[in-house]
Amino acid sequence: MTSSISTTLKLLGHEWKEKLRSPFWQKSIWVNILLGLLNLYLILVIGTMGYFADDLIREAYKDISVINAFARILFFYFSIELLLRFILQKVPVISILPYLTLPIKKRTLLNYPLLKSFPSYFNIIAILLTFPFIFKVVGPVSSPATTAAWCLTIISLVIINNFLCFSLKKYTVKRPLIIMILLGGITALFYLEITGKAVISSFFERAITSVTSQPLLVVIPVLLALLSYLLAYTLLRRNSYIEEERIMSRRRSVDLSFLSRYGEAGSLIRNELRLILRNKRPRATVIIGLVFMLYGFMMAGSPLKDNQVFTIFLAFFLTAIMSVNYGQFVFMWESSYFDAILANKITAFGYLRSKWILFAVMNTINFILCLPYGFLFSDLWLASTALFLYNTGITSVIMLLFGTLYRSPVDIGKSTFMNYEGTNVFQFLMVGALLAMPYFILLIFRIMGIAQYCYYAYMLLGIAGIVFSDYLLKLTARLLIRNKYRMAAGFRKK
Amino acid sequence: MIELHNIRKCYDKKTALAIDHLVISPRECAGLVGNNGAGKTTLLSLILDLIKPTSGYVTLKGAGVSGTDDWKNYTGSFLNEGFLIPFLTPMEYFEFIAGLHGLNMEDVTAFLGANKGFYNEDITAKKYIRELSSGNKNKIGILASILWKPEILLLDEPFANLDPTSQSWLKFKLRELNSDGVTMIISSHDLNHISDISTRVLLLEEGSLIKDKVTGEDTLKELESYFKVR
Repeated sequence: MTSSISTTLKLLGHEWKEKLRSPFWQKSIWVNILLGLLNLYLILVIGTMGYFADDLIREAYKDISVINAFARILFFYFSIELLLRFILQKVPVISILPYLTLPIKKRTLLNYPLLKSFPSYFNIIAILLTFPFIFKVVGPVSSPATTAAWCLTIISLVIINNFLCFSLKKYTVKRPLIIMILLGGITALFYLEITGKAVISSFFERAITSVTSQPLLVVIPVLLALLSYLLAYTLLRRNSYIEEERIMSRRRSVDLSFLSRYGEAGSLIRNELRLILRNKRPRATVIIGLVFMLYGFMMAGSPLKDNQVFTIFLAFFLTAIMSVNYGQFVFMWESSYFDAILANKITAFGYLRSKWILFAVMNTINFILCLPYGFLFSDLWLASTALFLYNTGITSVIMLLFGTLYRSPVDIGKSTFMNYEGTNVFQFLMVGALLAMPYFILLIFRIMGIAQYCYYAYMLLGIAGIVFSDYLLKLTARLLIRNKYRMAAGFRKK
Repeated sequence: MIELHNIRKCYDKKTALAIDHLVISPRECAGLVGNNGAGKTTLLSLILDLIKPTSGYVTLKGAGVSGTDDWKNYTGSFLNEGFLIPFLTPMEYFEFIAGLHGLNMEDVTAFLGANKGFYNEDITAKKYIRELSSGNKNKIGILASILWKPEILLLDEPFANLDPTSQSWLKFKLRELNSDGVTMIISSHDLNHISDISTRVLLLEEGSLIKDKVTGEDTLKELESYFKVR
């Protein structure tokens, strides 16, 4: 048996290789650079927010000292964070199956995924938000011991949340009731807090300030952190047998049999609806498309409200967000069985038509949901009707055209959050290009001095696209037939 | 029925398959043998238009397969797991495939009733295909490829991962289909099975067809001596 540290390092090496050797990382350097820059930007923004947090806190809490207010806010922060973690954080897993029979201590194998959860976004964000404050505000007025106690307390809280989320997730796989209790508990706490019946945050504040005023008490949060780790470890240990790995997913059986009456397109759409309902990533992608509909409310008070350029953006966004969000991966969703699509009795035209109909249905749902916004924004009814037609007739078809260019496989079982697998430079360009076209038309109409009529141009184009959809889809089918070998070859590289 | 004309398939200058001319006549059952990397799957993928030949072309019933769809009306196939839709239950998958050929659920039930010997309750249970074992996945693919009575059948290592009972059932079934007039190409590493079911044996070695013989009494011996460790 090798030492556990060197084994852990080797496991890390394997993980690194897995990442590095996945076709996605090897191919798209530009996406990686772009994503790297995006992450750097986020880190800077969050760090800056942390640095200027004291100003905000002084504004909000005028009657108590800024440090006490900070301690009180930590309570809200960490309870909301726990909830968000629960929804978004991935339980880190390595497939330990290949290692179970090798002479590696089980403890090492179990500790590995636990350790691996540390560099998660949540932990980094929490540290970035709080540490600048501690060094800027707490540091100058307190002893080094107090500052250290603050840092240790925060780190302990982060660790506690990290492992608590881990344990909850492991545990709730079997008992969905826990989610309800957790949600109920946090809601109840907030209810008590807001109504003033029991101000939990001030208990929390007192707890933290007493720890930091007597730095030796810092052992309490540290011990709690240790406890949370032991809990996670024990749960993981209990779940480390292969049978446990295969958690039976709940079978969703929505009656879609009416679709089978509509021939090839019907069967294909039925299949695709099942793809969306039964697989994590496509499902989340569609739901996110719906959640983004709330964007309109955020912009309701904006000074841009009556600006035509903004109205067009809003109408485009509100009537196509679901289909564009889902459709940027059109054929990639089916990468794991693309050969079945090719070898079975499915025509390229019928295949494309089923996807186009699905996009049209998504746009229609978006369109109906966005209608109430017409009360908030002037011109939105006209604009959204125009862009609904345009998006269905033109945007959807162009999305299918672009789709034939993508060749990276996508794992539909993985979660969506911060998951860029299959993301491609072209996709950023595609979404940009899709949005640029209505603006190009607007520009022409502006130059002619009749900008207010551009909505009718969208309508005409959209209706033409819908009327001639068969013809357009046949052209796209030719492209699909030409590109299918390259697509299929890419999709096979899992 | 199946014709390959001057087929070459190269990956980065390495030739994976090179066959000048090969004709499989109607009602033939061609057994495809060869070691790993000999080009068996490449050959089947080329016939199914899943990969593009570097040069040459394939015809089924005299019509080119490349870029056309007609051949899909009468060609059943199962090469690997990539042919299965992982998030469907087996029954839903059968229904999907049957639906493409204008058949309905009753036809599927009738077909399954007539072929009870080949599957167990795992296949009719409400489990998703991705949760099944390799053997069961293999059975689902094979059943789906024959449920709509194709005229041409292409199977890549159908005996792999099957239990002994299912293997003999499949052998029986393939012989029956063949005598009903189905033209097929079946690849396998099991020389016994191949010499039992095929009417003709094709032996591939590093992308070339080195033996093409009508199956006879000495076929098995010949194959065994070829595959002997040297």
